Order: sequence, then structure tokens, then C-alpha cells
Amino acid sequence: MRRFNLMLLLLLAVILTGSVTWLALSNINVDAKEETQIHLILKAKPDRLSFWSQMTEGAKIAGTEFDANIVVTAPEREVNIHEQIEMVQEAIDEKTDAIIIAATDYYALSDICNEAMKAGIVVVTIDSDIDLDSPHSYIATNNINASKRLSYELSGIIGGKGEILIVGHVLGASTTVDRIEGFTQGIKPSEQIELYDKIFYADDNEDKAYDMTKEFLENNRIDAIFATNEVTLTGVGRAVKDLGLEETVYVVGFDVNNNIMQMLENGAVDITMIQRPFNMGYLAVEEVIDLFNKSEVQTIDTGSVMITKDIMFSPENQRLLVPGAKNHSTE
Amino acid sequence: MNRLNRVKPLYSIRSTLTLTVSIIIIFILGSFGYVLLNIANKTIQDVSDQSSQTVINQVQYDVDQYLQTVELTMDSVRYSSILRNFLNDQSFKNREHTIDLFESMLLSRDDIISIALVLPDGQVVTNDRNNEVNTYIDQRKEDYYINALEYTGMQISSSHIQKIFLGEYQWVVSCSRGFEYRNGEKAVLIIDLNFSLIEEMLRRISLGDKGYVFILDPKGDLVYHPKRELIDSGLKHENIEGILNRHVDIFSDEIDDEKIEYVVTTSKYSKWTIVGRRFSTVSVYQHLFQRYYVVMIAAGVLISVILAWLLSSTILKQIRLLLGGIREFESGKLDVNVDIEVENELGYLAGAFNDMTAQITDLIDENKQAEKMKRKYELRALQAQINPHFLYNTLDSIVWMGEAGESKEVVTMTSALAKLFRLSINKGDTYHRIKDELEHVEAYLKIQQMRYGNQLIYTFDIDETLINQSIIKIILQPIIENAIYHGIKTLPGQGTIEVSLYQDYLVDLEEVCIIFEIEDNGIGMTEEEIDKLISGQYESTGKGSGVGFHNVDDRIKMHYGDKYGLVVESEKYEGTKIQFRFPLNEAVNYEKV
Repeated sequence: MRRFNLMLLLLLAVILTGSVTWLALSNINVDAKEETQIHLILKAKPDRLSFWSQMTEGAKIAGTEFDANIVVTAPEREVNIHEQIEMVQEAIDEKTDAIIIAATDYYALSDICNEAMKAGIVVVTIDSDIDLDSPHSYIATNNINASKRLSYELSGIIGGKGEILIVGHVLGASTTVDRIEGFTQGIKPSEQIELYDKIFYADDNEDKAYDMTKEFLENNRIDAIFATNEVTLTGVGRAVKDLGLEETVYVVGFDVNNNIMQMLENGAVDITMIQRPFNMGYLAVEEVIDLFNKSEVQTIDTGSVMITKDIMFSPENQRLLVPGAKNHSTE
Repeated sequence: MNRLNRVKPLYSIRSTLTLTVSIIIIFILGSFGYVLLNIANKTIQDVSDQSSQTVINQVQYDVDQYLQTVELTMDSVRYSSILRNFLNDQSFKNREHTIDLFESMLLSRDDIISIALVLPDGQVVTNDRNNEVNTYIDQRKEDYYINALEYTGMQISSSHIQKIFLGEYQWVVSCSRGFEYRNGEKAVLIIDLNFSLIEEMLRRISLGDKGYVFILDPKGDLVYHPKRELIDSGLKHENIEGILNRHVDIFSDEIDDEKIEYVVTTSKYSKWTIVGRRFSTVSVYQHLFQRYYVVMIAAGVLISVILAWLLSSTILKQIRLLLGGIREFESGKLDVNVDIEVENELGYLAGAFNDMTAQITDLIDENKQAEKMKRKYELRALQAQINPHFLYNTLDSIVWMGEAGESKEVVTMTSALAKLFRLSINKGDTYHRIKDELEHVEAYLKIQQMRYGNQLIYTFDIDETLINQSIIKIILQPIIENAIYHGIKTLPGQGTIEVSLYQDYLVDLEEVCIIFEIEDNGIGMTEEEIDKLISGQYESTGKGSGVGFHNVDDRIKMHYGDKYGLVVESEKYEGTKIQFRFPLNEAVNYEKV
């Protein structure tokens, strides 16, 4: 009996030591858990455009916050739809945990992304939506509202009458469609404003936008031009500037970069709607993490701010123009 | 017996013990842990407050030092003869020299982005002759220019986008200083700092897991923040108002659902506020403590349960033994001895119990012995008895034979009677040889045959090797008497009695036995009658010897054991066979005694 007691006590001591050790070790292991992998598939290379680089920055910072590894891929140009489909396929093959995608086309990406969702991958759309079978989260600017506000403002500036040319970035992308739709809606029927018959599409190519605009302006008279994104706005602005038409042609559009800021300063661009790509990137990653934790899908409007020359360097707005005060972000 | 089963004292003792020990251990661990936890919390809070405060003060000192070096740089530019010359004579050559001076200042400094001189007429001279000055901006409308004119000494701006060069937009902190130019007008020297050095300084600061340091200017704008994008985009927040209007330098707050602590100090030199943000130290450690605490309590309960188990086991083992003994005693095993050799109350209890059972066993044994003796005497008396009817009849027969002059028959019968008596009296011994028993029976049968004549025929079939074995006296005669009086007497024809003796291995007894067999061809018995006979309920009607079948059986069983005795086989109107069984080894061989 006594020997039996001794054995029991010994066993107890072992169990105790074991559990305490396990506890201590498990404390360390909490930090060393496996990282979530999230593929962020953009429309175009982030090194070329401020919009995508800010989105990447936001996603990466969120990745650090939430312990997720963000893999960023993007086709060379926004028109390379097939390239983007391949990237989704690669992400599926890699058995990634989630895909955040800014779709180059509302319909073309449907099949592959449906397939990804069926494979159990969380799919969140960012900036441009996709026609998907299942409900999903969508993080973007409310493009219809933003461009509606833009056209109100523009028609005010040009006195409620005149002709406006629209230069879209990619035919079929939801951002293009929504912005043109919103812009058209914003024009009041009472006003004598007409849209030019033909909508130009620059295929996400700055030089093409520049050439189209320049050729058009050399042969036609127009009161204002609406460029639907960073690339087209830069091209259009450059053309207007080069033709010396800053004072006669109003240029409005979406997004900002150093060139556009400069054109705001020199008058080539009059109004730009600034989105919050950093917030989009950050919130998309946060949304993925929330979805992992079984929250409901939702559409998040990240908001937009209208910027003109007069207010561009106000303390609030300058933060939006050049986010981040770090040395490297301006290199 | 049921009373013991109904209550469950075993479980109640065990659970009481377990509960008591657990409560004691939990109470001790709980109060001890609580006190320890509070002391630890206080200590950790004090220590971490102190170290955080030290760190933040050090950061403030470093930042001030850094800004002082900038001021030194600015002074060295301001007082340089090159700049003086340019201010006196704005020739192309002097302008080039100034640009060279500015450029050389920047060479060794990664943290300075640009140096610019702004003259009252709006003219701007910068360090970079390749970069076009942004003419869309009037530098004289910028805050850093206005402040430099208004106040003496170096002015430090909020962080802002510097757009002094065309197409370049960088976040900077501008240090500016106005100084006498001409005609009471002032020129302003501007040095723009990026955040590389400040970032470098703050990045190395560790304020625990996820803690960091940021800097506010007097207006509450961020000068530097490691997560500036998150703050600017409104995704994360800081309680800036609370920091600027604080009463103490260390305070807790809850921001974005996180419990945090701010450690704050404001520089008198730069007017900047250095803020350390860290996770609530105590809450981090408390979490850890709580886990260990829970484990300790769990372990305590476990230990107490096991201790109680062991403790109760030793006691319960003895109680169980005792209880087992009592139950055995109850079920009829009277000589129980409970084996507890412990020097405690239970040991004494067991001892007392053992004494009691021993006494009871003794009493019962005594009682049994007395009973046995009584029966022995009774039986001895019975065995010595000779049926007076038999004696009377026999003597009557002798008288008749004598009167008829059958002197030879008279002699035979009288000598047989004498032999019968001699063998039954024989010193009152219990045992005699089988030979004697056979003689006794033969004498008896001879007398009976003479009385009944040809109506009775008897035969002997004896294994002669057995006749010197001993046997209890007078067991055959009563059975033969029964056979004659109940079996043959009423038989219309001739009656035969066959007496045989042999030894045989009996399967049901698993041993070799001596067997007497008495077989008659009398009227036999029904099963019912056999049962009555064996149980002793059979009324011997008429002139039985009085020593009944049952008594013979009783005597055999008493002397040799319960498994021996009489076996009856009978069929109505066919006859009866009765077997006597004795153990062979038990029987004493007279020749060897």
C-alpha cells in the first residue's frame, strides 16, 4: 500500500510538471502559429501607379497587424484580363487562404473566382466587383455617388451648359461602368449639358489617353473632359497642358499621383476625386480575417474626397494626397 | 444484514474527507495567490512605469539633441560669409556660392531634404540647382515663413508636405529662422527634415509587445508616428486631446478596443510631446498569472482529492475488513477472525470483535458437545435394549418346544438366545468385529427361523477378508427385524432374507466402502413409505424392536460422518434392499489393535 502511494505521488508530480511546462510552452507557441496567406491580385503593377501602391501598403500593414502573409500579384496592364485569370488560378493551386481581387472585368473573372470559392478560399473583391454566384464582401469607393458628386461640381463650374468628353480606362471594368453611370446621372436634365457621342477608352494606357485627347482637342472644341482613373487623368491632363488649354478646357477625374498634383497646381486638372486605396487594402485584409472568424459578408464604402487646387494642401487633405510621412514612400 | 447495506458510510467518509481537504487547499492557495498577485501587479506596474518613463525621457533628450544639431547647422549657414556676401550682393556668382554651400551642408546629412533661403520679395534659393522651384506656391504664405518672421529663434513646423520643388511632394518638418536682411526686412532660412533620423531613434525603442513611440507637435498634429498611415486614414486612433490635456504623465486609456497606457513627456525646447504607447503591462502579465493560477488551483484540488483518497483508503480498508467479518459472521460463519493489526481505534474494535466471535464459537462448541453426548447416551441405551416382545415370544417358543420334547431344538434356540444376549451386552463397548455382528444376526435369524419354520429362509454371502474389521454394534439386527415384521410376516408365501458383505468403490462417495446388503422379498414399500422411513416419521406398528431404521441411520452418521448411512431401494410387492455403507479406512482392524 505504501509503495502504491509513492507511485501515485510520483505520477502526480510528473503530470503537474508536464502540464505546467505545456502551459509555459503553449504561451510561446501562441505567437508562432501558422501564418494566414492572402493573395492580393491587383489590376496593374503597384510600382507604376500610386493607387495600387497605396492599396498594397495598406494591405501589408494590415498583414503585419493580423499576422497574415500578403502575396501581391498584378498583370502588367489593366487590360490583361487573361493574365489576371491565370493569377487567380495560381492562387488556387497554391491553396491560399484568401484572395482579395480588384477585377479587370466584371464578368470575365466570374468563373475562376466561383471556382476559388468552391475550393473553400475566401474571395473578397476590392475596388472593382465581380459577378459572383455567392455573396461576398466588396470593399470599394461608392463610384456612382463619387462621380455623381463630381459631375454636379463640374456643371456648376461650367455654368450649367457645355459639352463634356468622357475618357474611360477599361471597357467592361465595373469601376469604369459605375463612374460613367454616376457621372451621367449627376447631370441635371434642366441644364444644357451634353455628353460627347462617343466615349473614348484608353485601355489603361497613359500614352493612349494622351494621344486620343490631343488628337481630339486639335480637331474639336469641348468644354470639359472627365477621365475615369489615375492613368487616363494623367494622360488627359498632359495633353491639355501641352496644348496650352488649361484655361479653356476643364479636366476632372479620379485619383491622384505626383503628376496629377502638379497638374492641379498648374491648372491642367481642375478637380479630382480621391479614393482611399490605403484604407481599401487595409480593410480588405481586415475583412478577410473577420470572415475567417465567421462574420457576415458586407460591402464597405471607403469614401472619397473631392480635391481642387485651393484645398489640396489643407492639413486634412495633404494626408490623403501623400499618405505616409516615411522617407521611402516618396522615393 | 440489510441495515449495513442501506447506509453508505464508505462513500460519505471519503467524500467528506475529499471535500474538507479540497476546501482547505483551495482556501490556502486562493488567499495566498490573491495576495501574491496583487503584490506582483503593483511591483510590475511600478517597475514598468519607471522604465517606460526613463525610456521616454531619453527619447525626448535624444530628439532635443537632434534638433539642436539642426539649429547649429542653421547657425553655421546663417553666419557664414558666403551667405552674407550673397545677401549684400545678389550676383550670379554669389548665388552659385550659396547654392554650393547649401549643397555641401546636405552632403553628409541624409536627414536634411532641402535648405532654402526665402527673400522678402519671394525669391527662393535652394540647395539644388537642377530642381525647378515650384512657382505656383508663394513661400511667403507658408506657416513656417510667417512664424519665422514673427518669432525669434528657430521655429519648428508641424509635419507637412513640402512643395518647394516642382513636382516633388515630401512629408517634412520645416525648421525656419528669420534674420535681418536689409531695411528692417527679414530673410528666412528653411531646413526641411525628413523623418529618417527620428524614425531611426524611435524604432529602436521597445515598449513591450506592440508598444511604440510617437511625437506630437503643440497643435496636436502628428510629427512622427510609426503607424501614421493608419492614424491619417482614420483606421486607428490616438487620444491626442487626452495626451495634451493630461494631468499625469502616465495614464491608462482604452483605444480601438485595446487597453493601453500612455507615457508622456513634453520637451521645453521643441515643444514637442513624446508619447509612448504600450499595452497595459499588468493586463499582459495578469493574463499569464491567471493561467498559472488556475493550473495551481486545479493541481491543488487534484492533490487534495488524491490525498483524501489515499487517506480514506487506509481507513476504509480496515473498516471494510471489519465489515466483511461482520457480514461473514451474519451469514453463519461463526469463527471469523478479522485480521487488522493496527494500533488504533479500529484495531481495538477488530480485536473486540475477534474476542466476541471466539467466545461465541466456544459456547456453541460446548453446546454441540453436550448435545452429542446426550444423544450418544440415548442411543447406547437404545442399542442395549432388547425388544421384550421378542424375548417373551422366544421364551414362549422354548417352553412349547420343551413341552413337545424337542430337546434338541430347545438347546439350539436357547444357545442362540444366549449368544444374542452375550453379543449385545459385551462390556458396553460401542464397536465390535464384523464377525461378532454377523454372529449376532445369525443367532437372531436362527431364533426367528425356528419360530417361523419354512416361512423364513436366510442366506449369507460374506467377503471373509472383511470380517475382522470393526463396526458399531447392533446395526443389522434392527433392520432384519423390520424386514421380518414388516416385509415377510404378512407375506403369504416363503420369505427370504439375504445378507451380504463386500467392499466396493462407490462413485457417489468417491471412495472404497464396506457395504452390508440386506435384501428381502417381502411386500416392499412405496416411495412415500421410503421417504417416511428415512425421515423417521414411520410409525412402527406392532412389535418392532423399537430401534427404528432412523436410529440406525443416525448412529452410522454420528460415528462415521453424514455421507455414510443407509440406502433404501424398494418396490411395492417386490421386496426391499437396504445398504449399509461404512468407510473402509475408518474401520479399525481388530487384528492389528
